[in-house]
Amino acid sequence: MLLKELPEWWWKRPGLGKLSDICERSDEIEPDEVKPDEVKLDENELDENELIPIELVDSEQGASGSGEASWVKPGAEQSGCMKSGLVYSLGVRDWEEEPGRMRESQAIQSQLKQAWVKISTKINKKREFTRVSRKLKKFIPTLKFLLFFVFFLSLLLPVGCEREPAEEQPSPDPEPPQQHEEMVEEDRTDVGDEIAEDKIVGDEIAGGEIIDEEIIDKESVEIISEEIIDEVLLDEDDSLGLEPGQMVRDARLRLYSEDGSIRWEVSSKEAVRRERAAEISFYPVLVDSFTGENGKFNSEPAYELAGEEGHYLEDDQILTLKGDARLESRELLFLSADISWQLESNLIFSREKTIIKGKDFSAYGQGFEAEADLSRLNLKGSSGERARIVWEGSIHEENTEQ
Amino acid sequence: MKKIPSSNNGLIYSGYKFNFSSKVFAAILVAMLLLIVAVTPLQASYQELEGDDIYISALEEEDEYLFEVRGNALFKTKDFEITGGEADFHSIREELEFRRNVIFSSEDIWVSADKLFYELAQERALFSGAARLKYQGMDATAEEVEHLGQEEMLYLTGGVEGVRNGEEFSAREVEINLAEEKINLKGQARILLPGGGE
Repeated sequence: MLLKELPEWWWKRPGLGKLSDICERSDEIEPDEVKPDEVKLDENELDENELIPIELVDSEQGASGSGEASWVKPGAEQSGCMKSGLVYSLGVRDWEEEPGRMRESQAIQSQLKQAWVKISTKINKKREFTRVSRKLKKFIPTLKFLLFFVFFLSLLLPVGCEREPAEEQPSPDPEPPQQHEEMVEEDRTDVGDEIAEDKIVGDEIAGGEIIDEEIIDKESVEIISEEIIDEVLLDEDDSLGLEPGQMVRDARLRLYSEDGSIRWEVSSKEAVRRERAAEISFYPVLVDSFTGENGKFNSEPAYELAGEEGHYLEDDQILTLKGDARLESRELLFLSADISWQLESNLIFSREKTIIKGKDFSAYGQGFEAEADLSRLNLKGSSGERARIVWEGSIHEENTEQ
Repeated sequence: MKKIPSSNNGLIYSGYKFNFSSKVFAAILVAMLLLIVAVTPLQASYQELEGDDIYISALEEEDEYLFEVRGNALFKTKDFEITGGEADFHSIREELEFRRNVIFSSEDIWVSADKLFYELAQERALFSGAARLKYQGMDATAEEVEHLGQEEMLYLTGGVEGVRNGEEFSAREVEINLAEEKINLKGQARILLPGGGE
């Protein structure tokens, strides 16, 4: 049976996992006690090494807990634990020095995605501030001397001199986009630590911030990332002839409609741009579709599409989920493989074995083709095995029970 | 019976050993039997719709669909089977429609027609277009054949002609009581006996 062959991850909803999964390396765990479905963060400003108040809410069990976590700057030991017996960390070790640790921290990010997204947006700003501060710290002795000199002069002269406030306090504002882009163009090898942008708009992913606001008004693709790491990812299969590209961590790729509504959003822990092939790969891939009825778009995702890896071909406008893939809406669950989404025709399809689970029926086919709003789908049979729908129990009895 | 202390968890009665594992085994056996009994009715009401291609369209109500089978349609239950070129099933109205070379077959009845309209809730099947019925040695054609499952009745209407046990017959309408196995010819009814008399 296909169902038995499916891996364990198949049955797990993407997004937040059990807190016990996150905390399994800690001695302070009380497993399965709370399974948060929401992580709320206090709106306080974050400082490095500062404990962040965090509230966990589990709506299913009506449970909630509060505690603290800390952000640790890259390179430092991670710490930060939830109190109330629940422990986790939001810290990140130095990725470049300890690649193994990078994966560990990445898993934590994935589990606490909501929290991570909210925190890291602020952290990026904080990083920017910190970087500027470090540069300015070098000039503190000089500034002190200048200040003393100006103060001394002001005592001597009847008319005082104006001080330069900008030199006393570094501006917390991030660098202008243009400067950033120039920096990336000039020296890409130094981008890793320098780029901490969290938003890229346009259909370019490499090279830091690329903003083209006009595209938002049109049907366009927006790529948002929490981190951009300028690592050269060598493809193992050189026969593909792909250019080495950049990798984006915790990436989100959005497709907008003509009126600016989000049509769908692709989320992934890692996204890789292969420039020559005009392809973006996601490992794993999660697609939230905001497609609604009659060509309209919902504010909440209508369904989600998940797989181990996804490949978006920009020229053909096809997103393909390689391997086992799952499509889940409120009413239907599709279990299939190699599911593709053709944006131009707005069709989702697969040529592989497919199982569709409805409320009172199961459908089996050798592939499917569906309109993007799932209002109508075609379950395909083959010469060897026809498409079929099975109702366990009488159709009439089930309708009567309802 | 003498109780003999045992070194293990079980007790031995006159050579018969009845220990904890036996109880567990018995409990498992009973549970399996109960499971089989519980599952049997589900299998009995198993229903299936098959075809070369199936289109599923969402209806206005949640979890309700129109199933359109295109090419070699088949609907089968434990009691009967229907085949045809194509079929539609509307889950809200509980209506099943078969078209092109439709054949209905159950243990007692065989019907072919161009079209079948089946209301599952009422167990009413209406065969139309060159309908042909085979039932207990009777082979008849009519414009329409109506099968009422709850009433256990069959009605053939419109130019009914056929043969039953060597007797040719014709009528405007034929009524068959399946429960009592009675056949009633109505309207210009004629029976041609094998000897040549009417």
